[in-house]
Amino acid sequence: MSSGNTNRANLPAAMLVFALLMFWQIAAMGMNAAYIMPSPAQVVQRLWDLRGPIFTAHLPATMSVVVIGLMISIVLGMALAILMDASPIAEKALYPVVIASQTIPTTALAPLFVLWFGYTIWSKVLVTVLMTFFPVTITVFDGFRSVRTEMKDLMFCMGADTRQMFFKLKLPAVLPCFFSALKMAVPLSVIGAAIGEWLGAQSGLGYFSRRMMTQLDGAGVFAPILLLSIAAMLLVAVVSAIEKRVITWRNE
Amino acid sequence: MLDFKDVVFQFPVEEKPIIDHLSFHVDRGEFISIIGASGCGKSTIFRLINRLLVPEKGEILVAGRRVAGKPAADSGKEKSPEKPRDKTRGNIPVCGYMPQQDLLFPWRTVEENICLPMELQGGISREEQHRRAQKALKDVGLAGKGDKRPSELSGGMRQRAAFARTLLTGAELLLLDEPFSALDYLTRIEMREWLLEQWERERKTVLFITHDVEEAIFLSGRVLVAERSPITSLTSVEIPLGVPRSIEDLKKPEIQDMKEQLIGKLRNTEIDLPLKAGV
Repeated sequence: MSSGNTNRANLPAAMLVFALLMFWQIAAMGMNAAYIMPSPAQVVQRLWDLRGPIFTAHLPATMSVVVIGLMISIVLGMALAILMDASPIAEKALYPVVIASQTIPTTALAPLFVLWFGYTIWSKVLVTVLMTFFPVTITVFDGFRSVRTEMKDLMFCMGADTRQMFFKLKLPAVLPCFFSALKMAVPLSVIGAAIGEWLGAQSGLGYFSRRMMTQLDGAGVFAPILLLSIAAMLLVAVVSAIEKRVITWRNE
Repeated sequence: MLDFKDVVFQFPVEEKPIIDHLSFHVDRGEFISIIGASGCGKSTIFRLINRLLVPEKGEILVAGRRVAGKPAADSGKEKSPEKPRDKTRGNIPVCGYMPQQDLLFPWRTVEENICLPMELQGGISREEQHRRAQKALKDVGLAGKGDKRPSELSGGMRQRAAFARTLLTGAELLLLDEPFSALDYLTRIEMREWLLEQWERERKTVLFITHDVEEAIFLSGRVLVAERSPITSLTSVEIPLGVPRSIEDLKKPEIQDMKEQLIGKLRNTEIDLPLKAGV
């Protein structure tokens, strides 16, 4: 029943998307220049034509960058958040640096990473990590900070030690924030991977899209982008599904 | 059960102590209410007992255990206050603390919530925890609600669960800090009677903070009045009512008089807190 309601609630958005696609299709057909402005139908068609290399070589390459990058970001981000929460000195030292790191134009640095790591997966992973560790660190850290003082006091009165305070109060309290962070990080990781691949790679959807550009294949440029978007949406859906199973309590 | 000896406490930001050479004594099994104007330092007394605050001077003893302060100079070698977790006493905290809000953890079921103090103490098997939790739930009138989430319970039920959690700390001294003030009037009346029943059954020592004079009279054997701030002493007033008592008892003329008197005392409270610039 609730899914029926959601479907109905999403109906206007679905109609808008459909209308925009129709407009695009008609405009593209009117222009009749598929090498710069392919129609949606042509993009889907091209994706189908190229399914062999895209699904066997390029999608797995990009997904491994996304998954490895996300893993590192989660571990690094959680570690930084826990460290800043545990030690005021670490907070004073790290927090401003973490914030400042966001002003670095990661995209502009990417060529440097290619210089360092060559065309290996690690140059792409580094771009992904730089783009995603920030939301994880900051959101989780803010989550730690918003754990209610009264609850900490109560735990103290019941005789909780530091370890119990962390595992029985802070960690569960921060879980909703952790999932919000993850939902922010997933699309960013896909963007990071694609940017990394544009700049220097031998496989991957970003690399593939760029190669199609040099061949003036408009539909070929769009096809991997379409797949990237679908991949990001599916990943967010997977995270949301896990969140629903894990966070069974209503947020108060 | 509880002894304050010349306790002095001052918040670092204030110019004067909020508790100044306060001494008082509570016997085992007493139900005592502390009343006083808001902001006079009632809650500070609780925070000193459960070690969230450390007194500047003086000593606090709970059941003979020193929870704060150094022993007097003549009592031999110096011992630092015992840790909140005292391995030799089975990790039972010095007191059970029930705050104004229930503070049940939303990610735990009601039963998991009330098992929390036993989990923290350690050394109690799951079966034993479950057995004690089930008994406590039955005692507080929440039988069958153990698997619910706190959000599924009403305000009164949540406070009952919080009380069960406080009981399961195993502590002999219970500190209840305005536990019913967030409830609606009818629920509050009902919870008062319920709490008295609980106390008659458990016979723990209860220290109950409230600003509601009627509530204090109805519940306690003795009322401690914080007449001035900083708190230098607490005026002890015996309540001439036995247990069990009922709401009707509050209508007795002598009780009405007592209520008037207590309210009078509170109204005369000189709030002598160091006021900040501009006054």
